[in-house]
Amino acid sequence: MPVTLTSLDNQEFKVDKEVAERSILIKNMIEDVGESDAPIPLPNVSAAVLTKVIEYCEHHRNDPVQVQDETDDPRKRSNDIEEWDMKFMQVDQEMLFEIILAANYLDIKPLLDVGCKTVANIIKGKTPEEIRKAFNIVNDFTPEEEAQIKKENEWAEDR
Amino acid sequence: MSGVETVFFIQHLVTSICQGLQTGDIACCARVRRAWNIAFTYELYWHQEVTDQKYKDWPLGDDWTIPQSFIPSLCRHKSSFSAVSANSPEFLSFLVHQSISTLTRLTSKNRFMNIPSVTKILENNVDSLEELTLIRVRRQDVFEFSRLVKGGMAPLKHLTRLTFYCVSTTNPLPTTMLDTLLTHLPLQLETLDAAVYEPTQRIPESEQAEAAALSIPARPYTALRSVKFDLNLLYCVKNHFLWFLRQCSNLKDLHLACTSFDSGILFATAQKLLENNGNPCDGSTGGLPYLESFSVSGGRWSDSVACLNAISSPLKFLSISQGSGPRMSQVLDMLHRHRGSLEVLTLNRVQGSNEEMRSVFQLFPRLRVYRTNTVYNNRANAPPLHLTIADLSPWACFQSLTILQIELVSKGDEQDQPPSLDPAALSLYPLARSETLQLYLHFSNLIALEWLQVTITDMAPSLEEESTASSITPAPPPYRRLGFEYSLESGLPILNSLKRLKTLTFGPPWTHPSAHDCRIRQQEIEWIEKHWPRLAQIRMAKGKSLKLDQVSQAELDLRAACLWLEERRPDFKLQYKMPFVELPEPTY
Repeated sequence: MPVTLTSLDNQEFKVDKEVAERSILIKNMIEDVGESDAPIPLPNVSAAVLTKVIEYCEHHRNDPVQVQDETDDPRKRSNDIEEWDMKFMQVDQEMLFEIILAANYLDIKPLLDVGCKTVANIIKGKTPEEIRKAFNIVNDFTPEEEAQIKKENEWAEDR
Repeated sequence: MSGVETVFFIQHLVTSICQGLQTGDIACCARVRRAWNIAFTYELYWHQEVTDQKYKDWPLGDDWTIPQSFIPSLCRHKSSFSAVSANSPEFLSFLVHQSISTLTRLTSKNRFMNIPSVTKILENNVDSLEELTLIRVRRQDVFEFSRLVKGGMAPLKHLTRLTFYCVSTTNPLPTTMLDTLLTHLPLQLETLDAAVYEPTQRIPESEQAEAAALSIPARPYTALRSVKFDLNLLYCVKNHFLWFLRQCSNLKDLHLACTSFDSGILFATAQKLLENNGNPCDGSTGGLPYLESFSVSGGRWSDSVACLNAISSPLKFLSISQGSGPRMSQVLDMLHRHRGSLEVLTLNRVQGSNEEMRSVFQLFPRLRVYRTNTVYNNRANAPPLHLTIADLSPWACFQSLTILQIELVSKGDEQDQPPSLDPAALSLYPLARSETLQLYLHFSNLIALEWLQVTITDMAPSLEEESTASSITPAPPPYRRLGFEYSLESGLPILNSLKRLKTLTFGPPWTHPSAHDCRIRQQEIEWIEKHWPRLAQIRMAKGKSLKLDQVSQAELDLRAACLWLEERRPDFKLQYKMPFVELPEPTY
């Protein structure tokens, strides 16, 4: 049975219920409302981003639902990204971060994890200046402040 | 605000990103811009737990040293230490020189934490310490610590839990130090766990010494609820222990452990405490009227009898673990007065007959945890202990049933059918014998069961063996044809009702290395995954006579299958244990 999702800019998307329910937020909304044809509003997600999110959910519709385990040590989790997901995430940076925010809002943990891993992979191994360049960020530290922070975190920067 | 900026303002998103980064990368991010500095500095230091003895997440070098720049940074960012486990010289040095006013727990388990260091740490504005654990306190430090306690250290004014284990080497530990400790504990203390691991100075028996101890002014340890003493310590402070327990009028839990067999004096002392005899010198009434939990381990049974007899309050928890193995009848005779209250009974190395074993279940109607390790009669011509299937029927009320060894005597009644199973159901278990099925049925009634540990041996010879046995041929070994093996063919599905089962423990009888009472394979684990939703542990005992590197095919199957279950249940573990190890206390 299809479910209608309405984006921030009032664009409607008809998706299978099974696909939509990859989002825990939507799943809970459907359960609360019951069987209904009324569209589900998603005021925090633009049409462009929602298109990408739906694409992800469609591709992963048959994946087992990830059970959140609070005792799971995140350091044991793999940082590898599947090939399809890697290609899926080859978008401009603004879209990348919008997907992360959308996944966070819609509560789609696998998508959120992939997005965060992608950002981590961009940051990995870079100096602060390289990171600024990668994300087009302006440095608002004074040289003295930056030196102080560097000294304070000296123990970490060698690791 | 752009998406880039927004993401780095949401801390849990930053945390997710940092999970893919090394510490150095996080430190670099902290230098990118001010907003990132706040978010990533939190990630850099927040994970620096100060509770693991190996400083989990701390940037330790291969030699366990800490980078010099780390400590001042940690001090600046880590505004509070709630629990500290100090196990390295560097960390000890760090603690000694810091102001850690919010410290609530301090633990030291190795030789680096000496009492002067503890004193320094406590004096550094620590006014919130609630729990102090000192393991391996050296002889020279006992005096120092007792002096500190006697002086009424301000940092100890909130202390509610004290664990204090002394290690005395060659020179006997002067008892006066421990006496001082016992007579000057903080009044708000609620739990005391003290032990001396090495022999100490023998106390000369004298009435004068006892009288002197009893004349010590009263010190109302009315907050003390739980006391655990290793009786070597008791040996040291015998007279003061008598005085001490007279001050603990509200004690609920008393545990006496004896690491020496010279326990006569010690238990006699304990008996005096438990008796309701007041001390005219300090006006105390004596006895422990609120005692609910009593345990005694080690020493001779004959010595602990007096203690048990002296307890007049209705006990809820009782644990007896004696090296000399009392008779069940002796134990039960003394426990009649507790029949209306006893909820947890642990009997290790208690010898008993079938009748005595059965009587436990009838004697204590409120019993919900029963743990026993019955010992076979050591005499060669004595019949082995056994229970019949019918003996199991009263067990339905138990939440946790641990039976380490049951022998089921098979009487060759393969023609008898359990009445509860129809022929169609029986046909599902072609390999099972009727007694085995009956056993499964009885266990299936234990719907509240949370922990099941049963080792079953089959005593009856097979028909084949009976026919071939002769006066020349040696008698067949007694342990064979184990049917209660938790396999699907033997009747595991009958235990479908044990929905609350959390722990399943089994193991080969230690007396027979080739016996094995488990046949859990992939199909069994898949059944378990479906029908026992709460199972979190399978514990397998290795036979005492087995070499640890001997692995049977059954064990390999089990291991492989358990890995499958671990992937689906993150809290599930396959564990190994040696037989007759002190069982952990179940949670009530």
